[in-house]
Amino acid sequence: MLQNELQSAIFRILAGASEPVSRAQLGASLGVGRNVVGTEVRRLLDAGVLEEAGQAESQGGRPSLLLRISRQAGLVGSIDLGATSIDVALTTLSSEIVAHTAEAADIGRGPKRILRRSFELLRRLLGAEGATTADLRAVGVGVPGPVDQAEGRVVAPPIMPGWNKFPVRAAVAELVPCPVFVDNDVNLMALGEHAAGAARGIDNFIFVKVGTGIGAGIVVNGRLMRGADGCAGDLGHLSVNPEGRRCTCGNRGCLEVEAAAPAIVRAAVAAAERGDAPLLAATLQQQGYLAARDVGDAASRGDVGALAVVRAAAGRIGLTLASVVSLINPSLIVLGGGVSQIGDAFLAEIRTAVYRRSLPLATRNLPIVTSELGSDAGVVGASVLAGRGLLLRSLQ
Amino acid sequence: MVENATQAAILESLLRAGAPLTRATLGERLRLGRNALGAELRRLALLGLVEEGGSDLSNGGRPSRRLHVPRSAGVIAAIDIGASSIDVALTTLTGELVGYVAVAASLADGPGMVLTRAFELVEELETANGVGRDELRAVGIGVPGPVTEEGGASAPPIPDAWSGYPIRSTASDRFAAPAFVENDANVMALGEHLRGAARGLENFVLVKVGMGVGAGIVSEGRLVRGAAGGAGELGHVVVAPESGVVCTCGNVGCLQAFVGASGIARAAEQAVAEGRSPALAAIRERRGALEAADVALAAVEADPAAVGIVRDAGRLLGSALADTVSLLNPAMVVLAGGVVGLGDAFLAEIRTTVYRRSLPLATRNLPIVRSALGPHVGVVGASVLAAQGALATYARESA
Repeated sequence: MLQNELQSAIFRILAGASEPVSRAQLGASLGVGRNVVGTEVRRLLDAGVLEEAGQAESQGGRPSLLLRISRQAGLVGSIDLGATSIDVALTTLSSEIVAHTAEAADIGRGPKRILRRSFELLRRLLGAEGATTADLRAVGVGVPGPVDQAEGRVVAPPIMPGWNKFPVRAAVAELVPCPVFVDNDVNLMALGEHAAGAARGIDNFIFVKVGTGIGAGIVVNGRLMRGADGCAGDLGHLSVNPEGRRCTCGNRGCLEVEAAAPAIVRAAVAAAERGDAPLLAATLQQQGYLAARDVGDAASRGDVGALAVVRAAAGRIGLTLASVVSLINPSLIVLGGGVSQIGDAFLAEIRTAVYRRSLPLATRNLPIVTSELGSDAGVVGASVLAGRGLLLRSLQ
Repeated sequence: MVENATQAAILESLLRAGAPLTRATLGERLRLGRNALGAELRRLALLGLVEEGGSDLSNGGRPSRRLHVPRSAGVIAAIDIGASSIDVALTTLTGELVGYVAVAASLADGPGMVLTRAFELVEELETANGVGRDELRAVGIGVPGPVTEEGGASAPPIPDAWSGYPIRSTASDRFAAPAFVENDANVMALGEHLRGAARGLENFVLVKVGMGVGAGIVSEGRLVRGAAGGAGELGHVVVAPESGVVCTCGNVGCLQAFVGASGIARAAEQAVAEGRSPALAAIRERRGALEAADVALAAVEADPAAVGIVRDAGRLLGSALADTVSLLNPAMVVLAGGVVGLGDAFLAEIRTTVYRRSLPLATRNLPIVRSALGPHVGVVGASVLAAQGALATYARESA
């Protein structure tokens, strides 16, 4: 596909770019003249490896052409498995989403069933694009548990019954004619935000996912921190309350069991039943249940009881994050997952807790923001993992 | 020093190995063919930077001679500034100690006085060991606080007088050699990584427990400094917000205020004041104020109050470490610093707490051990810091 060094270099730059790059920028990055770059770009356009993506703003003179990797160059498959969902996407080699679908699923149904269903969804997406598995250059898979990179297996995953030691990479590799890459789902969300989201160009940051569970993806020195056993970032199982509830991991009072969505819902129901949260009580009456989203809504509509629940959970998370900040000294914290979307009070309380408790040096310049990629973070991250893995192999 | 990037890479390999290497091994590691390697080795030998000698009879074939960096290649000045002491050493480029001295000192005296004293000690060691000034290739300095990109220390948590003081340029001007400054726990982690218990590990944490408590973190083979050099500030994690115990950094309830040397001493004084420790009271009679080392002595004599202090400190540190282990998933935790002298009960309590509280996957094969480098951990690390830094500089300049 790539015929010379310069074409490879151009391809690498575009593969790693989160948005289209102009011919002028390419020339500047490569330290090569306009004409030389122009010739190779023309060749790559003709071969269908690159495609035009509009024009850059004029810097005086003729506006420069914007370029990106075309889907003709090949597709990457992304499978993002959650505790209660399957997300599947097709992307270009530079991780731009071409097609994306998601459905509810129970990870407890086991690896064979879930992976088979995931593969069906992937084939469906391919078919709709007029493509087949032969067009896949790489596949990235995210799972809600720790992954042993050497063996491509899930290891001792607390919320994935039936998956311990399952060789996910090998199993998926049997279904597709291309390399397969596997990692923990929150790690992949961090990768996605790093490549194409809120953490673009940031060498040291933490991505925190707050949903049914709580986990973190840590990037330091520009690289994902996986740890010796692939379980780095396990924020959810830090102990915050020695007298707290029992957690799935066996310990008491883990952050996850005290502050993730189920805990918020529990506290909200209790508040509603106690008469402290009138709006929540009304919603509970109507729906018969409460979701974390409802608690956020009620809080932003002025329900004092709901606000107290949101603040308590966010405060616990923020306090824990303060310790992480002291340990790692990140430049940025990105919050993702369903609970991060429930409203301003949640974000505000996390910021307050982190800024109050961490060392001034560490918080002097520490933005705490929400994810830019939202529900796309996982599949984009899976694609980035696969794309980078592919590139690394081609360089060896 | 070196003439090109390949030569820098050769020296870097020898530095990393910590032991003499055969040509074959070196060639393999650097992916250099015999001839190319031979040519660069000849140049390095002429420059006095590499020597070939001794023989390796292990594989039964023709004995192969091993390459090492000789003393004549030059010397590094390694300075480890602690809250209450200065350790200074001269080492070869590959970290062998040529001379070493440690003196009491106080950070509170300010950078001017402390650095002057440290530099004097370097000169005393040069004289005592017949090292000429022109043999000094680089200077490495560890300080007990976060270090900025400019090579100065950030305050707080260390005294304000140090804030913005140009440590690196002061040292490089004084010795006419490149100087490198880094947080002391980070420096110790470098030392352990190349010369100590954590050799060959890509992910580990070193925890220094002295006057202050700090962590040096190595992840995917590289030191984690953080955005502003402030990574590893374990000592200022708040563990007891309602305690009213004020830390040197100004906040209340920091881990360091309980587990650092002054926290241990405070607990000892309290035990004596409350009449709970005959052994400590006796020691206090003889020596005046109590120190952490006294608690260790009393604990060895099974004084219950002293043992209690040791175990409480171990549990508190262990809790903070359990969180660190869950977050970073290191392959090993190495403990260094004076307070580790509290003894086996301290270590045991730390281990128990970490193994109980951390994620099982993260602790199933997690050694928690003492530093292998003893009192030299700081200067060995500072030597590694300087050697790596100097080689990187020369490699860049000759590229």
